[in-house]
Amino acid sequence: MKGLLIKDFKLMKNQKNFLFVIFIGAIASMLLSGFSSFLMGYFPFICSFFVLSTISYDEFDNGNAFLYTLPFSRKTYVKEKYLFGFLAGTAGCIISLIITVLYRYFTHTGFSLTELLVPAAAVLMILIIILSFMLPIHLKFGGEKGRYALFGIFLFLVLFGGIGLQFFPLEVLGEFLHALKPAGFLSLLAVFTFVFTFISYRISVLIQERKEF
Amino acid sequence: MLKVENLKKQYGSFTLDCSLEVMPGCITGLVGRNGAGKSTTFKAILGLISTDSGSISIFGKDIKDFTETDKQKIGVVLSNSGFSGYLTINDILPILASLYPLFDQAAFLEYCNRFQLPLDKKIQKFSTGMKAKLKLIAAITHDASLLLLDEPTAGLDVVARDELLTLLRDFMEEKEDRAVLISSHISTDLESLCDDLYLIGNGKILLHEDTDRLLSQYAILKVDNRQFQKLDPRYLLKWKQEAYGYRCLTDQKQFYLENYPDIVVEKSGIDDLILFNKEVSL
Repeated sequence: MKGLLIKDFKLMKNQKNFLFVIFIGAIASMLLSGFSSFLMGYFPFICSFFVLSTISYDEFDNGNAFLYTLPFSRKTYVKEKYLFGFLAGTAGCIISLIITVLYRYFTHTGFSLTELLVPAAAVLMILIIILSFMLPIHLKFGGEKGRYALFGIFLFLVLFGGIGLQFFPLEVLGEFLHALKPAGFLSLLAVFTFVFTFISYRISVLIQERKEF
Repeated sequence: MLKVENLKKQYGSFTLDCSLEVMPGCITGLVGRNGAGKSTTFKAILGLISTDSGSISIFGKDIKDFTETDKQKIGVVLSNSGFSGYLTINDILPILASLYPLFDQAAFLEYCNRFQLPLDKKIQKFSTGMKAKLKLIAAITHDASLLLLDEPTAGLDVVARDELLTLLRDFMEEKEDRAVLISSHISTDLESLCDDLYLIGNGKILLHEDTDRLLSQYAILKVDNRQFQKLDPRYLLKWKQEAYGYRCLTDQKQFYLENYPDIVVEKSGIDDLILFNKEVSL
């Protein structure tokens, strides 16, 4: 597991210029717009979704065949991808938090810890949910085809989800979420994140164990 | 050390049906033409593909029950796959150190230095020879008991091939119970290196022989039609009609040398076996 994590962080190093440009761009947007949450809603996702690129890097030049001769199981590979996405996302969250705190401090806009940490925790969990949705697709279809598959699934969800929403009591859901206090909302989100990630992980393991290289 | 029994794998019209064994202390060669089933055999042994039937055991343990610790005792080279080209040697050092508890970093770096492999250059920018050397160095520097080497010398010039074969010989001399399964297109590499050889063709093992016996007892007999009629066929493995008469493969060179002094007897090698297999089924 540790070796795989090192590999992916070393691969991430290749994208350091890209990440730096994104980071600077996000900070510039934050300074220009005065919208201090911008970085938090943007940068952690970029960091975390890099895990999808590592799947493409692993596939490059038939690299998977050799990779899977190294001493780890297919289950460990899948586990590592989820962990890497989580760690990269957490790192993105922490960096964004620090920058946001510094921004608020220097612009004297003031902040409370709850005000910052609740959105950060929510961002992290939403990020994990989206990642858990994307990882099995990327593992199944590969980096290149995975993008098309994802596009197809999004299209499907937008089309049929839109139709479905017409019959869904959105007001009731809105009232329910509104009635929840931050702690309640975060707890509910945490439970959903855990269940969704667990199901996603099991599907990913099944996909990976059936692959031939 | 490695035992493959009645391994079967169907790929469209191609069927792999093979059994082979690698004994401790031995270097065993797997030879055959392109598409004969060498790489499929390696992939099956490494668990990279599923198999239809048969069993594969390494160190007496079925590969289906293999753990990460078991895999640490194996070193692998695949001709068409290696470390990610986006990494450098400096990047893969901590990866290997984490994956293999017995990884000898000092030896690894010494080999890199000896073969002038740059530590901070992306592997995708390496030449074919440099990549091949890196793969073999990584396979032999974590105290593996078994090496599985699929075409490790493919695309290399004679000097680079000799360097790699020397590395392998040194690796075998360090510990006497180590073993190697190696495939190659270059028969001279295998003739000088292997203790025994398996010839594979159309997914089937056609021949298994000690290299010494293959080189000393196997021969090509070139005879005209009249000589062929008088030839004792008991020790002829295969024969093929040629413009001058017949070209025959035997595994009893001495018998024909002594009893038929007037016929042409030529030294045979792995290439002749492959060529005979191409022309006439062994």
